[in-house]
Amino acid sequence: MQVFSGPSCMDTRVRSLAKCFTTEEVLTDLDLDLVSGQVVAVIGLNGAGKTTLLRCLAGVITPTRGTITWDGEPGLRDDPVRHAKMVFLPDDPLLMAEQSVVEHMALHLRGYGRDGAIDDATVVRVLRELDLLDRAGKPVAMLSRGQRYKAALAALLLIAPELWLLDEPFASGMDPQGMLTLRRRARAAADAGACIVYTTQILEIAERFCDRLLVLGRGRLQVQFTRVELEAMPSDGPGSIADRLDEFRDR
Amino acid sequence: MMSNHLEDRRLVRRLRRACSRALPFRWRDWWRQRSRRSDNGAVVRVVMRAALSVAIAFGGMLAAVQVLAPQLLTLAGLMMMHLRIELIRHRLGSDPALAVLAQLPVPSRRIVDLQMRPVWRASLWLGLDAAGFWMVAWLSQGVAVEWWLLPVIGAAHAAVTLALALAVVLLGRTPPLWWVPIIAIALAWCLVKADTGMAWAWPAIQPVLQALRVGTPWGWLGLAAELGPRDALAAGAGLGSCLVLAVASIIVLRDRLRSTWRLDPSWREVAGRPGHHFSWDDDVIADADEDSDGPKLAGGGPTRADTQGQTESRVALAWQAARTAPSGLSLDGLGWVGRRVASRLATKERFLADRLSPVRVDEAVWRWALLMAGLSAASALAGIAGYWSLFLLAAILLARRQRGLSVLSALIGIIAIRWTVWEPIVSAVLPVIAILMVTPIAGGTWGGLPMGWTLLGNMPRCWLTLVRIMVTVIGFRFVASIPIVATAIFAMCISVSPTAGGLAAIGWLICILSAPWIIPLQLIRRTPGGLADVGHGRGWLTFLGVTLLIVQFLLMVFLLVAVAVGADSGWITFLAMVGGAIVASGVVTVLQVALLRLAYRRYVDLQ
Repeated sequence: MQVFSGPSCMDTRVRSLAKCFTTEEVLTDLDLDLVSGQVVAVIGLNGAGKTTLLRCLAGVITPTRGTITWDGEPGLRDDPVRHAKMVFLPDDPLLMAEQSVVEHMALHLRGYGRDGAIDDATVVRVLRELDLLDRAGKPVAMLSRGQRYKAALAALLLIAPELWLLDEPFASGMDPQGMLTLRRRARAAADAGACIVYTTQILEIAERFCDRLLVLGRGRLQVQFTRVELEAMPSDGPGSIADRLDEFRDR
Repeated sequence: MMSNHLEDRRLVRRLRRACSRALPFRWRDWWRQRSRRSDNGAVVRVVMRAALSVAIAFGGMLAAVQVLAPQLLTLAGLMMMHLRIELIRHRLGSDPALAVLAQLPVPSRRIVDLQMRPVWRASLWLGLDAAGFWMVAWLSQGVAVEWWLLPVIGAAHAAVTLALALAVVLLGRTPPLWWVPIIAIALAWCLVKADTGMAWAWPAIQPVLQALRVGTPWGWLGLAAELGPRDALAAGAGLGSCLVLAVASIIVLRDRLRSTWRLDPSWREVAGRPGHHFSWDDDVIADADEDSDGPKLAGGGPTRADTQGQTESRVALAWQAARTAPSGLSLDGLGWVGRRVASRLATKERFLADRLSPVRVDEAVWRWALLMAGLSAASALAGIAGYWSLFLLAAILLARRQRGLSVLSALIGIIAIRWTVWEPIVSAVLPVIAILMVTPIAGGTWGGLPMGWTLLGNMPRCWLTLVRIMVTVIGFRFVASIPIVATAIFAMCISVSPTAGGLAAIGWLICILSAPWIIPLQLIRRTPGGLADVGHGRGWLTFLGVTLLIVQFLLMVFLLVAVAVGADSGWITFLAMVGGAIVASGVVTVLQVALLRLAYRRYVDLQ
C-alpha cells in the first residue's frame, strides 16, 4: 500500500487564526495543532467555519489574522515543496471534464512529482478498490458525482500526502464501498504517520472515525475530544456528543 | 522536476496500458478509446493536414484549367481558415484547465506560461491561415503579389488577432460601442482607397476582391467578370465578412480567455505588490464564496439543471482555483503587457466578480455577437455575404438558445444543413424546374436559357459542393456525410449528364429526405447538454426551420432575379420564375420544417 511513512511528517500549527469575509468573521482566534498519525474530524453547524478552516490550512485562502506554520515555517501558497505534502479535496473536486480518470491521475502525479514513484500495480489496485478500473479511460464528465469524487480520491491516494484535507468526504456521493475504502486508506495513512483532517455533518461517522473530534461553532474551536473521551461518552441522551453540540448552538 | 509539459503523455499511456491489461479485452472498449483519442484532436490534425495537402494539390491541378481554379482555390482558402478556427477551438478545448493546474504545487510562472500559450497559438494559427489564404488567392488569381507580402500579411493578421484578444482582456469586457465607428471608418477608408485604385494597395486588395466575390451569387453567376465599383462595395462587405469570421474566432476564444486570464490569481498577485503577498479583497472573497458554495454539480446524466450547474460550477471552480494559486509572483520579466493586464485585472476584481455571473457572460457574448452580426448585416446590404451574416446570426441565436453549443458549431451545423438541402436544389433542381416553367411561356425554346448554360453554370457549384463535403465531413465527422456525398454525386451527375442525374436522383431523394433528420440529430448529439437539454429548448428546430425559410427565400429570389436578368428575359419570364421560386421555396421549407419538427418530436420521445 502506497502511503506516507517516515518520521518527518509535516507539522502544522495554527495560532490565533481569524478569517473575515467582508464584515463577518468566520474564524476567530483559532488555535490548533495537527499532529501526525491522527485522524481529525471537524464538525459544527452550517457556517461554523469548517470549510474555511480547511481552506486556510491548505493555503487556499489567506487568513485575515493569525499564523499557520508548516514545519515551523510560515505557510505560504508559493511554497511548492510544502504544498506538495498536502492535498486538499473539496466536496466538489476540481476535475477537468474532458480528461479521463487516468489522465487526471497522471496530471496530479506529475504535478506532485510522484510519477516516478508509482508503479502500475499500485495504480490498478487503487482503481480497482474504488471500482474505477473499468472507467479509467472514460472522461470525467461521463462519471457520476460519486465517481468523480472517487477519481479525485484516487489521485490523492496515489500521491499519498502527509496532510489530507478532506471537505465533507462522506457527503460526496460515494457508495458505501468507496467510503469504506476511504476510511481504510485514511486509517492506514494515519498509522503510517500522515495527518487526516476531514469535515463532516454526520455525527455517527465523526464519533467513530477519528482520533480527535473538533467542534467548531461561530468561528471558534468550542471543544475537542480525544478518542478516549469519545468512547467514554454515552451514545445517546444527556452527556452524549449530540447533547454537547446543542449546548454550543445555544451559546 | 517539472518538464515542459504537465500533460505527460507517456505517463498517461503507461497508466492506460496498465488499466487495459488489468481488464479483459473488449473490442468495443478498444474502439471507444480510439474514438476518444480522435476527439482529442490528433486525428483532426492529421485530417486537417491531409485536407490541406489535398486542397493544395487539387488547387494546383485546377489552376492548370484556369477556369474553375480561382473560385475553388479561393474558396478552399476561406474554408481552410474556417476549419482552422474550428481547429483552434478544438485545441483550446484540450488545453489543461487552469482551475485544476492551480491546485497543483506548480510554480506560478509555469501557470502563467500555460495561460499565454493558447493566445500565442491562436495568433500563430490565424496568421498562418491568413498567409495560406493569401497564397491560395495569389495562386488562383495569378495576380502579381510580392512573395514577401504573404508572411507580412500573415504576421499582420496574427497581430490583429492577438490585439483583439488582448483588447478583450485589457478591457475586461466586450468591446464597447465606439469600436463600431472605428471599424466602419477603417472599412470606409479601405473602400475609398480601393476604389480610387491606390497603386500600392491594389495588388494586395485585388485578390481579396476576387476571392470574396466567389462567395457571392454574382460571382457564381458570372455577372461580375471584371472588377468595378460594385466589387469595391463587395470588398467592403467582404472585409466585414472576414471580420465576422475573426469575431467568431474571438468569441470562441473569449471563453478560454475568461477562464484563464481573468481568473488566474497570479495576475492579481503580480498586479499587487511585487515581492509582497497579495491581500485578497474581502468583498471579492465574499462574492466568491457565494458563487462557489451555491452551485453544485448534480450526479447522474446530463440535465438542463446540470448544464446550468456546470456553468455556475465552472465559475465556482475558477474561484476555487483563484484561491489555490501560490502567491508572491514577481513582476520581473512579464513586460509591459503582462503588467498592464495584471493591473487591469487587479483593479477590476469586483467588476470581474460580477462579470463571472453566467447570466452576465451570456449577455456580454450576446451583445458583442449581435453587434458584429449587425455590422456584417450592414455590410451584406452592400451586396455580399447576406446569407453568411444571416447564418452567423442564426448560429448565434441558436448557440444562445442552446446552452453549451458554441457559435461555431451551430454555424457549421446550419451551413451543413444549407449545403445539404439547399445547394443541390439550387444547383440542379430549381434551374430545371424554372426552365420547364418558362418553356411554355417562351414557346418551347427553353425560355432562352440554354441547357448547356445551365449545366455549365452549375459545374462550379457541383465542384464547390465537393469541397464543402470535405469541409463538412471533417467538421462534423458524422454519418450525415452519407447524404451529403450522395447529394454531391447527384449534383455532379446531373451536371454532366441528365440521364446519370436521373438515376442518381433516386438515391439522392432518399438521402436528402433523411438529411434533415440526421444532421439536426447529430447536432443535438454533439451538444454537451445532450438530449435532455434539447427537451428544454423547445422550438429551436422550428427556429432553425424558420431561419432556413428566410435564407432560402431571399437566396432563391435573388438567384432567380439574377438568372432572369442575366438571361435578358422579359418581365413575364421574370415573374414566372419568381412565382415558381416562391412556391418551390415554400414547399421545400414546409417540408423541411415538418421534418425537423418530426425529428425533434422523435428525439423527445426517445428521452
